[in-house]
Amino acid sequence: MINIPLLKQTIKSNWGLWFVATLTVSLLYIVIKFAMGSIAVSSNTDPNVLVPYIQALEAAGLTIEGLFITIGINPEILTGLATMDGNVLVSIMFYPVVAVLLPLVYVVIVGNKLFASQIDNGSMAFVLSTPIKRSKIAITQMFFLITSLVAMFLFTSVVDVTLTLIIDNSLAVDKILLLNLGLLLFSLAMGSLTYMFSSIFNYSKYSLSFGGGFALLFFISKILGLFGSDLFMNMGVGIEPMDFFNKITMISLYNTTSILDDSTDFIIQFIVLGVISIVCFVTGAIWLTKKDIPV
Amino acid sequence: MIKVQNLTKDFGFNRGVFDISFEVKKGEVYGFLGPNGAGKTTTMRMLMGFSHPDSGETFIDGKNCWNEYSEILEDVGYLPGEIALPDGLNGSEFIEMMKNMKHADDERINYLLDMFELDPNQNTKRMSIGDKRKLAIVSAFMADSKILILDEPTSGLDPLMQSKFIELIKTEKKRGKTILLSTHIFQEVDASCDRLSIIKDGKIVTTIETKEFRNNENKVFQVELLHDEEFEKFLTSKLNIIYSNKKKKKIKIAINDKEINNLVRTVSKYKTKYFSESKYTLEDYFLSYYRVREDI
Repeated sequence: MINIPLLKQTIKSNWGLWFVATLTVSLLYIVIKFAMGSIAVSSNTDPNVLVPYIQALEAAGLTIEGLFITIGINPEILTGLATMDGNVLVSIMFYPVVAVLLPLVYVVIVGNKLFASQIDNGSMAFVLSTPIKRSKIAITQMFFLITSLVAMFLFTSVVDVTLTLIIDNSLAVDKILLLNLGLLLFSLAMGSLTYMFSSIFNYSKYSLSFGGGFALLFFISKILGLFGSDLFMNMGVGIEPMDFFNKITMISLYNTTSILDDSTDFIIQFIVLGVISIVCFVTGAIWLTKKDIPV
Repeated sequence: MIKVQNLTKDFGFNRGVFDISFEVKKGEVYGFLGPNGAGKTTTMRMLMGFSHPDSGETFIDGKNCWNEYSEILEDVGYLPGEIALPDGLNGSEFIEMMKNMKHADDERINYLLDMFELDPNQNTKRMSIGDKRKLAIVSAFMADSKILILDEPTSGLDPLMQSKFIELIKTEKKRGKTILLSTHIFQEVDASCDRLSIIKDGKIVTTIETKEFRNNENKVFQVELLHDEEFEKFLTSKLNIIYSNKKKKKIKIAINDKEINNLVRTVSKYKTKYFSESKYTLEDYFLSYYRVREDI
């Protein structure tokens, strides 16, 4: 099913980037876990200090809600703020916006290198001139992309769980594992897209434009979509029309809100990510076996 | 052994190959001669199964090159026209990879490395074009394949290595290999090929046996005239003029030995700067085919 000499070459050609991406994701976890650990400390504000303020308002026949309305803030935000857990908030935003970035960069670059760049510069001629079947080449490259992503997430999940246990235990380990699994599934789906474009196009410029273009579109849309998300709306800083961006980014299928609030939406979305991966990987592999390769 | 039948691959803008047919027999060295962009590489890509024809078919050893490429390639060594080595490997690692993919043996590889005096322990990014070409040559010949398809094999090699390469071709021919090579260098096919096809604008213009040129009765004479009006007049003579240069007033005439008196008689009527014989080469044949006129 896979060709070992080709797999070795692919590993030698890509391990450096894998290493950098994996290490950077791990570093990000370290930073964020320390930050979340300190939130837990700073939020231990003694509620008693607020009492004189509330008493003063009540003595004047006023309420806190009234104060908020006077300064132009919707008082509903109070309910939101009261029920909000800082650590959950960070997790909801951190994983799909920050942690997602390095795997995205990784699949865009590696995806392109699997076929398109080798066809573009002509180096694929050597592998193609051997008796190895194209289907075997396609599967070997797919195997590398999938395995390297799984390895990356095994490593970073261990880092993430370890840090959660020793520094900040505000999230249960099973939630952390689900967050990482979702990130892996999303990265695989993105990887399958770049794999497919790499197989379809004979030039790096097109393969990168499509693979990188979608990655960038999804990433930027995710950030813009945050302003329209329920999270921001509940905090009183949301802009509802911006929710449009959540509908055009595939990162929405990595539903951290659902993972953390015990709803089950995310399961269906995980399955959708899996289906996207299968469709794109299969399309890319078949395309490679059928097309003219100008090397 | 190698058969191309009415092969057409149209890339538009008159690029590609159009209805070409030829056959390379077992044990034959066949040359593919033509300028850049004539369609040599396109044809070879289809023989290798990299791309499929718009119409027509290619066969190697009776097998269809597009459908049965992986069986065919068990017996084929290929040298690409443009050498780009795979990313992430040094020269030795590249050879190791190709060896494992093609099931080659070390003895043969070392023989080739010695022949071309190549040290593969180099970073391929810092390699000279010549060394990259040598690596590709080693890779093409390492599995001792029955059939060799070589696209511009000597470009980038210095003259010494070029002649070593031609020696290698001759050795492999003696060992019964079937070889198809493309080139735009006349001497290369002259020295090594049994037959060759001249290809231009995607069409085969002629196919010839090279031995006809090694002991033939054709000669080429060069003459340079002194006066412009005489130059024009000379061009109207019935001689087989294969090349003319108006500025230098230089003319090349191809003749058979029997016509020599006729030529001398004609030339004697003109005021000449010089008149000399040059060896009739493939290049002259090529030129006679196109009747090249340089009017600048």
